[in-house]
Amino acid sequence: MDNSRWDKFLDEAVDGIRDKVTRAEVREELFDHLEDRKERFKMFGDSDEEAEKKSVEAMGDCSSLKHKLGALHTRCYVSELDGVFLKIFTGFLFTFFKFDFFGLGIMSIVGSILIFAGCYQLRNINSTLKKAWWASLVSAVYSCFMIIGKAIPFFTQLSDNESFAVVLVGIAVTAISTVLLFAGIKTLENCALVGKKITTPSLTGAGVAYVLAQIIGIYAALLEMDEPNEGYGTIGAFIILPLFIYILYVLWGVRKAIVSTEYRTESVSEFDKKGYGILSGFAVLLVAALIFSCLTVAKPRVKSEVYVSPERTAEVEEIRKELIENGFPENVANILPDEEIKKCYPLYPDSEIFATTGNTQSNSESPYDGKPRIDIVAVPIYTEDGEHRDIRLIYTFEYLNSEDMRGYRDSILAMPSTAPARNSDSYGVFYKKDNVLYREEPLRLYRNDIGIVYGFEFRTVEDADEMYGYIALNGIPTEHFTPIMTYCLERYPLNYPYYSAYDKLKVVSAGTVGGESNPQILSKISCDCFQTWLHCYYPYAGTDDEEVPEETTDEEVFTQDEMNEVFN
Amino acid sequence: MKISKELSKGSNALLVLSVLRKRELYGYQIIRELELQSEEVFRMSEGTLYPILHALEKEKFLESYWEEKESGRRRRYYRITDKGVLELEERTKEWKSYSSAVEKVLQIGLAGV
Repeated sequence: MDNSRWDKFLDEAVDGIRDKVTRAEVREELFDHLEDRKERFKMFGDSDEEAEKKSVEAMGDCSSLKHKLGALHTRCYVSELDGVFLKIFTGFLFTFFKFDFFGLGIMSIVGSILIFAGCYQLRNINSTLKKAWWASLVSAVYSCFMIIGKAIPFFTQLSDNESFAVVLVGIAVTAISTVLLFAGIKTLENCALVGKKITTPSLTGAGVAYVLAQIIGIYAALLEMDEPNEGYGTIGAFIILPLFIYILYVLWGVRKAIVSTEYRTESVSEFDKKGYGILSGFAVLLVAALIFSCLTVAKPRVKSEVYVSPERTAEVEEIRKELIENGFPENVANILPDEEIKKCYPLYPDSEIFATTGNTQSNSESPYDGKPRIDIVAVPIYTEDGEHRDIRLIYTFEYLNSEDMRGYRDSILAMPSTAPARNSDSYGVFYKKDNVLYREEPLRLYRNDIGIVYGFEFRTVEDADEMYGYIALNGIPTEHFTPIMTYCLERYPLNYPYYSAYDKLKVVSAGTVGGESNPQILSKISCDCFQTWLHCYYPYAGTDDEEVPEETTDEEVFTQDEMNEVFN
Repeated sequence: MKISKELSKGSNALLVLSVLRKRELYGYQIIRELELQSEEVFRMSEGTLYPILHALEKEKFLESYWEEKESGRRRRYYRITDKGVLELEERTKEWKSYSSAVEKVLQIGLAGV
């Protein structure tokens, strides 16, 4: 039961509290107190009216209570303030992740949301902080919008299809949001104590530093994209580092200025200690991260991307039937689990394929689960200069269900784990020039952790009429290998629409029959394609590869007759 | 005996924390406890209590929760936190040290009389 006699007192007492919910709660609490006090007065014989009057009097001066409650609920308290600054500063940091998961800019969005959350908290502390709140809201909405619109936010790596206009809009939004954000934080100067102004470090300077850091970050990311591994990203980070330490210093100064005027339990010198501790810890962490980053630049990281197209997977049974019709061993096709049957399509120039970024080694190497598997993986390989040097289509076969038949992976594993020589007969490239077939040694072999060769590089012979590459998978029974290879190679001919230099690479095939020579193997596989067990790396990234020779020696290895025998 | 406002001002938060260390209480109960325990010496203006409670809660020395009464209305209870207990111990030490110093000075003053 409410009491109209108390309404005036209660309304006035809570009038200074800006937050509606808090105001209602405090009013309810005071009302409860008045009721208790009233009951007590009544116990001592007071009338209802008298008890109500005395209860209000016992509360004391209403305007004093109003002032105290009002000031209390608009102050910034240490714990709240720490939470606010932690969110905002972490948000600033996160928005700087230029290379993000799957190119989606997730970290940037998380950063924007953290800034928003921090500013929302500020708004709750003091409703005059709307500038900061609006700025962060604009920033967070912009980030989300960019993701929904499948464009990458201004903070992140630019994709090929992103227009420069988007970048400009992003920079503009960043600048406007930052100005509003810091202008909003600046209003904290007035909220520490009612009617008392405090002096904080230059927030304008911090705002400028943030925008500057963003521009440097974007520029460094663009340079890094154009010329990977040149260290532009690291240089950018080194420039951004002091700017960020400056921003942290300013925010800490604001906190200290506010807290020093507040009700507190710690002395200002304690805050100083904490501040210097946090600043030093942060600096050490950043320096460590940068050193780590430098080490990574010194040794180029593996760049690996695997592309598959499960979205275009046809019906399982239909593919199974198709496999058998095309000569795939029926016994193998019938035992292929449904999830392993995928019909993949040539990946280029089809742009609708989706990309899964990850470690190629682990993605493309099928688990040794004893199940057959067919997979297709296309991998771009970059040169030191960041150009595509080679692109290879992978047909991965696994057939592990029978020990006596020796699955194909088994067979690959059966290759010597000790480093095979580059001039091994098991690997090579043939090229045809003026109707003469030449053989060339691979420039480089790629081996996995256990020494298994899964790919090789070869020199591009510009004036060759045709080129052929091969890897002999020793030990695979021909009767199992050939039908599968034939099927796959016919279905998915090698196609390099992007790279004219490789137009000549028509036939790259592989085969194996114990004891048979490579021409004999090639003669059994009359398809235009390439199979191997490959991954994508930056060339020269590893340390266990062969040295790249200056030149390779061409050697005529087949006569015209032999060649005709092979290819006709 | 009535204690002057100025004298009691610095100790109100300490007293509230101390009362709440024993059990969880709502605002009116805190006032009553203070009166009873001090044998009616501490009779603060009741409105003063709430800013103190709210400030202590903001500093995480107290936490509050609502409980429904039989009448259907809600009542806000306060309990001391671990941080509050530490704070109470710290402030109690300070208070004892301060009061003992005051006592000493007063004793010397009295002896002089």
